[in-house]
Amino acid sequence: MMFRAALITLLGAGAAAAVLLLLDLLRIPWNAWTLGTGLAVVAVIAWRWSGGLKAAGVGGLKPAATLINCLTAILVLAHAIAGMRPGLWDWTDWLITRRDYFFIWGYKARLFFVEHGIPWSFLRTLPNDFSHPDYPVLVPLLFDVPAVLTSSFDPRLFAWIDAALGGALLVVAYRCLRDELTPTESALGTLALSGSALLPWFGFADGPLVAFAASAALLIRRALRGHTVSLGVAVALLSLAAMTKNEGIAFFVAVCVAAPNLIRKLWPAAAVIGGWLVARASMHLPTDVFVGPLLPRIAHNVAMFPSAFANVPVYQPIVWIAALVAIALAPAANLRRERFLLTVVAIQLCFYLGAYAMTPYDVRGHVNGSWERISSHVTMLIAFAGLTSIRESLRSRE
Amino acid sequence: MKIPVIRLAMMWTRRLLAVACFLALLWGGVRPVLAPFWRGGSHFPTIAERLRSERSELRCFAEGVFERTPQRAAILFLVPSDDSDGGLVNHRLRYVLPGRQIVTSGDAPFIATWHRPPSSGRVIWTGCGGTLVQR
Repeated sequence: MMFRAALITLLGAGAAAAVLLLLDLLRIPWNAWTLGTGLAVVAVIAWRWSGGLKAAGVGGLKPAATLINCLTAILVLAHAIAGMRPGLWDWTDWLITRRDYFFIWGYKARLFFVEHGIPWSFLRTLPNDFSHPDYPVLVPLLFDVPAVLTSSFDPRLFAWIDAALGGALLVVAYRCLRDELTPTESALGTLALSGSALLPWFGFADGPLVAFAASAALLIRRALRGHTVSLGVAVALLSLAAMTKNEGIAFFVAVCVAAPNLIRKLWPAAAVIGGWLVARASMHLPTDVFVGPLLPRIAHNVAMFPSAFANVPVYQPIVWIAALVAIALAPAANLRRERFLLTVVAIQLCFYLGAYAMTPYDVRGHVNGSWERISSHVTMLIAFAGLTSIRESLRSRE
Repeated sequence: MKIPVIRLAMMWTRRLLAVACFLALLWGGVRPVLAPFWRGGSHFPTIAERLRSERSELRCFAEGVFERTPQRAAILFLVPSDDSDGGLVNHRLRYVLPGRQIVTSGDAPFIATWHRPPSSGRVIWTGCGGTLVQR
C-alpha cells in the first residue's frame, strides 16, 4: 500500500508538471480550474493504473519495525518543517548558499507563474552564467502546481514537495531492502538512508532529482534481480530525472552503461530525452559547458583539481566512508552483487568530473559551490550498497 | 586448531566492523535531517538587521518598478556598488522583476536608480528610495 502510494507520489509529481506543460503547449491559460481539471484526469488514470500494479506482498510488520518506520516518518515531517524556515525564502538575505533557488529554480517558477505559461523566447535572452535557461523545466513547473492551484506564490510549499518526494524515495528503498532483509532490518536500513533522501537544499532541483533517479536505479536493481514489474515504473522515473536537471540525462546514460541488457527496454526515457534535446536546440537555449576552445581549458582545469577538491567533502562523508568500508569487508561478493549500483555511481561521478574539467568558469569556485551538492545525487546508491553489504557480513559464517 | 580460531576471530572482526559501519551509516544518515533543529532553527545564518532593512527597501522599489513597466521591458538598474552583490544584483532583481530584462550597464528604455541620483528622462515613479525614469 505504502509502496503504491510512493510510486503514485513520484509519478504524480511528474504528471502534474506535465499537465502545466501541456496546458502551455495548447495555449490554455493556467488557473486553478484548468490545472484542477487536468490533475483530475491524471488522478483517474493513476487510479486505474495503480489497480494494475501487483499488491506489495511484504507481509505483516513487527512492532519494532513499525516503531522504526514511524521514526523515519517523523524525520520526513521534520524535514518539511525545517524547510519552512523563513530565512530560506527571504529575498533580503542574499545568501550565497541560496543562490540557485533565487537565480534558477525559484526564479523560473515565479516567472512562469507570473506569465501563466513558459515564455520560451524570453528564456533564450537570459544570461547563462547563473540563470541556466538550458536546464529542463520540470522542477519550476512542479513548484508552480501549488502556486497555480492557490493563486499565490508561497515558496515555503516547495519544502513540502521536497519532503513528499524524499519520503516516497525512502518507501521505495524500504521495499527494495525488504526483498532481501527482515522487516526490522529493512526499517533500520531505511532510517539510515533518510539523510540521503532528504537533502538540505530546499527549493533546488537536487531533491527531486535524487527522488526520481535513485528510485529508478533501485527499481532497476530490483528488476535485474527478477522483479520485472518494477521496470516500467523505473523507465518513467528515469525520464522524470532527465527532465529535472542535465545531471538526470547523464544518469540515464550511466544506467544504460551499467545495465546494457536493459537498453532496449529503456527506449521511452531515451525518446523523452531526445525530444527535449531537439526542442532545446531548436529554441536556441544556450548551454555553457561546450563553449570556447575545450582542450586548453580541460588541461588548465584538470591541473587545478587537487587544489579545487582539497577542502570540499562529498555530501555525508561519514556515510560514504562507512558504506565503502562495508563493501570492502567482502569486496568480491559485494561488488558482484551491487555491480549495477556501483557502476552507475562511478560513471555518474566521472560525468561530474568531466563537467568540472570543461567548465568555462573558475574551477575552484565551481567545485566549492557544487561538489557537496552534486555528490548527494549518488549518496543514496552507495549507502544502499553499504547496507546490503553490512547485512551480508553479519549473515556470513566464513 | 589454529585455523578455526583465526577464522573465528576474522569472522567476529568482520561482524564488529559491519556493526560499526551500520552505526556510522545510521548516525551519518539521521544527523543532517535533524541538524536544523540542533542548531536551534533561529541560528540560520542571516545578515545584519541594517542590511536586511536596506534590502527590504530595495525589494519595495523593485516591486514598484515591476508594477510600472510593461512585460519584457529592458531596465537599466543602478544601485550603489556596496549593494551590487559582487555584480550579481541583476540576478537578485530578476526574482522580484520576473519577465523584465535587467541590465546593470549600458543603455535601456527604462532606468531605475536606487540610493543614487536619478537619471535624466521622464520620471515615472519615485518611492522606496529610488526613481524610475523612461528615456
